[in-house]
Amino acid sequence: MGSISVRDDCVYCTGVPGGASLGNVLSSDPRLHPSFLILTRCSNRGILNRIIRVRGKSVEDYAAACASRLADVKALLAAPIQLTTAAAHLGGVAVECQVKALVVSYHGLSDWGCRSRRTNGPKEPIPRPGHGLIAGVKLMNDLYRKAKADPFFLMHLNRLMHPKGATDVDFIALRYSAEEQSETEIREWQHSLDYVCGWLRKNEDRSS
Amino acid sequence: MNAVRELRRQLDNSFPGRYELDVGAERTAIILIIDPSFSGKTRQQRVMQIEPLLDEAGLRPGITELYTPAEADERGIALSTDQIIAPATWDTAVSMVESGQRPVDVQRPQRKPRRVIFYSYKGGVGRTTALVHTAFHLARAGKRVAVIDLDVEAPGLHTVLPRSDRAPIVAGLVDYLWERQIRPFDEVTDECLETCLVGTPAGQAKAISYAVEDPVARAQVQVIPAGAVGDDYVRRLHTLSFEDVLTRSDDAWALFEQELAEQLDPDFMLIDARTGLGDWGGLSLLRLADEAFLVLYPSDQNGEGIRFVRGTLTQLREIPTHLVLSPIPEGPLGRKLVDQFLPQLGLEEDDEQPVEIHYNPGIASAGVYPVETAMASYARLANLILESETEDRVEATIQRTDRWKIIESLSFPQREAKAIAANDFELFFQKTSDFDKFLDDARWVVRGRKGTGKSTLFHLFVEHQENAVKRARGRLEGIDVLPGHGPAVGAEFRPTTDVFNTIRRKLIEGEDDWLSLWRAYAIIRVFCSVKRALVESLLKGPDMKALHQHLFACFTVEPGGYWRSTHTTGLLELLGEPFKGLCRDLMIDLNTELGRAGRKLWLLYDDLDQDIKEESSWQGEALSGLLRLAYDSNNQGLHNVRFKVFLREDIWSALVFTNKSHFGDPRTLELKWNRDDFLRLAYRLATGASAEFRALAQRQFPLTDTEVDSAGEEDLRRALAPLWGLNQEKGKKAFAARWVYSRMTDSQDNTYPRSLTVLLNTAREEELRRRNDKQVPSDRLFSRPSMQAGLKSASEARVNELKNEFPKLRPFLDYVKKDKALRSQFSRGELETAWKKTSPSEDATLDSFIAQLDTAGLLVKKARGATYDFGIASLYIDGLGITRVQGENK
Repeated sequence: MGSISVRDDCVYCTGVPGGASLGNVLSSDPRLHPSFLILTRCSNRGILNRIIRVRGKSVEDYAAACASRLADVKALLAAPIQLTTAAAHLGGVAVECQVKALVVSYHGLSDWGCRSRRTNGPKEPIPRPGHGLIAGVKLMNDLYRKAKADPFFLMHLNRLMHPKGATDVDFIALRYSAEEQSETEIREWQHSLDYVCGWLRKNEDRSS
Repeated sequence: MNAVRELRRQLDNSFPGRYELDVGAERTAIILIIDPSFSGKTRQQRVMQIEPLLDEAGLRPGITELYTPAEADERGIALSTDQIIAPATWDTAVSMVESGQRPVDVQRPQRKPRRVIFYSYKGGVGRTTALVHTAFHLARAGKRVAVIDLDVEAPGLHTVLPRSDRAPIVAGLVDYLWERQIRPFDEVTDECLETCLVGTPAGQAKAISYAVEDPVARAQVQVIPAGAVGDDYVRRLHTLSFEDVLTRSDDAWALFEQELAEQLDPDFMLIDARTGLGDWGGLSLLRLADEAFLVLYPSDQNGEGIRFVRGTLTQLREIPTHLVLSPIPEGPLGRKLVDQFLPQLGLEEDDEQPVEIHYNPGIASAGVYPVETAMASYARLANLILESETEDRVEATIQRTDRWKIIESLSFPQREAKAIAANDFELFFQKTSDFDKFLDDARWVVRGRKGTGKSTLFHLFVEHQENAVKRARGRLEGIDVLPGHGPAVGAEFRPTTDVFNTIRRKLIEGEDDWLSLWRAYAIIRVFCSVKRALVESLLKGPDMKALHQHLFACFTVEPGGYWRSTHTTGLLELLGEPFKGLCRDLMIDLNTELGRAGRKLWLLYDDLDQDIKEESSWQGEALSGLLRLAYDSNNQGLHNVRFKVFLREDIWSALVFTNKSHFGDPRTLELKWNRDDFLRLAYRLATGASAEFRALAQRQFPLTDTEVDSAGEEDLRRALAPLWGLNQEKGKKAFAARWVYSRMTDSQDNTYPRSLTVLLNTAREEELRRRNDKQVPSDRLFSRPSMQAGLKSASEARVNELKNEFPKLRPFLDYVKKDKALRSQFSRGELETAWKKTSPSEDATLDSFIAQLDTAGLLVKKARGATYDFGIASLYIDGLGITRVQGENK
């Protein structure tokens, strides 16, 4: 077996025996972030005793995930019997993906926990924002400033975070809810989803 | 915004370190709380717990995230751990203000160099001129000063203060910061850098600073220009990140300050800031400033901008901020302009008033700076900076000393005037500006409210003359002072209330007059005094034989002897012939003899308000007799025997006698403590009582004993800063000294030294009681709450004194206190109701009652058209337990 060293987001692999898949080597090392596993597809060319530097996409494709979840929402709401709760849950996840995609792009991240590559970015590593929608927005100073200046955005975002009303559970806890939303509620929610997605697209930072 | 701060206080108590609060447009709250107490509660219950708090703070819920730690963990949501530093931009500042956030100031062991920002909202108001002249004032005061051009988009400081060799500048601060932000370089050797702060003869690097010398005083100021405007300058300016200033200890600005300290070591860094609400101006004021001058011309457009800037700055940072109106036209036109403009600034009662700089044609045409004829106008700005520096130094010193030991060492004992020992006079007597007026030979009446120091003055002159002589600086030369009547030590030998009553009856029976009585009594006092020799030789004359025998027979008194009935009889006999005429003759002879010897005799009268029955129908008659004696003696040319009568103001006002009109200002002296006198006394009380405090105060602002008597308000404020702070509260503008003075002053502008002792005593006790409090101020010995407790005690003591002084007001005062009948400001109707309830006599009118309150110094009359007609003088508000109307400062 060869040896592997990991520095920053780079993997250095030496002495991978002939015929062995680099992917196998990588996936067997517990020090590696799961995102590196994608790189195993980049494959081993059978080069032995040579450092192989693998670098590239290491975070999920949040933009694609967002598009996929939005398509789910569309399908659920277009069904003969609308599945509104599932739609609201997945709509929240879609926005979560969209925000994360923006954060990754805004800071030029190759992975969560890395430092921002922005000239004036924060010096601290950028954490994964989890399911926190506003937490994600807060990671982008310029976007957060714009968000705070637009009460509409905050109102619609809040509705996406709490689809059944401000005093009800959030979109994550909605997975455990069996109740469907009323027609009015889901119409308003859909309006909020359109507003927030449109707002995020419009105010996406293109400078980095 | 106070409401949001209050909300933060509540959240700090309920969820310490477990919440984040921000506020967006239209006061939309963005709140995240992660707290175990939410466990077992529904979302609705959690919201019901938090939203009322937001509502109370005037916020509307925007995004409300309320999780238990487990829920937050499941969602990957965590609280931010970022430290909040001072903002670099106005929008961040506004957000912070709206959300009640205060930045953590970057801690510096000492604020040196002190960063003083000169900012104007609009250009052309004389901001740079003010900066330059202030810089030279500071330099002339021996301070090391650097002036820095951060008006980077329109730099001009280097044209006002050019290099002495008139060579053009080649680089400036923008170049310096730019290359340290952009280029890689060796931090030890500075290799790869083109610029440096100070040039060396052999150096290749471009120096960005140079010295300018003031031709008059040869004081030097270091100038650091923004740069030479041109292609490179513009490119560099626009690639320079203004936000990356003071965010890290190794950023470009930090390197600049480090080199500045190493090479030039300035005490002050005066920064010429960019106008408007842009980035560089914001950075200068919001992040860099230790102190700021906001310079503006009194116009609408300036007013609006400066009001916003000042409001944001003061809510965000605890730094001294001063307003400078410039350039104001001279004369009534300028006055009118300022008066019309000031309300726009929304200044509060205790805010520092703007400094006014008048238009100076010399500046408009100046080719060389500083302009000598304009220097005086800017002295105040330099003094303000020095005051703030004092405050910082006091803070640093207090932090190094044993605060509690000094507080314990302070003592402010209440002293009855007659009990003040000679050496106490040395320590505690404060000569006021009235002292010199008292030395005026022709002042016959010394009047003043209770507690204004009449008796202290009486005692100083009759019992501690050596102290009086020392302070009179030669003006008491050849003057003998004797008690004509009063509570001097050993003066038990005097008629008191019942005796005067007997005397009065006998006067009526014998149809005699008070004037003759006082003359005879004066002769007895001289005869019985240590100065008996003054009359003894005169009494040996043949025509005085009868009088001599009478005096000898009746008034040979052992020291410490009491006034007996035989003395009353002996005194009354002097009103009959031949003694009455002989007394008059003796007075004339005494005057002549004194004149021949080039001497004078003063007879001082005190405590007559007590010894002659107060409010008796004849008190006025008796006192008028004494005053007529003073007047008649003067009219007869008897200028070598003078009568000086100490009277309480209300008694003097009520006196009606012939010739009172001759007792105008030149003949009477109203004892009043102006602000400087009051502060001098405070300083003397504190330094006199404690060697430890004296050492602390002297370390900050050395004042010799003689200097105390002539020190102006600014010096006294600084000298007293270690005791009660320079400003009312750290970072606020209102001076503590003025606050104390204004709270200790009644509506007749009377201030009471006795109240000051009460205040300081209580403040000391309160401060010691708060010993274990976490929030002990670092810049003063007495914190604001302790001072407030002191003011309350002093006010209560004054209310009691007022009741004694004006017994007729007692029912009204008791009613106001007990029934909370009035607030601090009220309408005429409310006053009338209170007056009627305190049962005025049938013939009294509301107007006469108002006049009485006015005389007592209790009532403040409001301007016509104001919301209220009257107010209670602040001195009495706490003592009467009165509630202040909303918005009135404590």
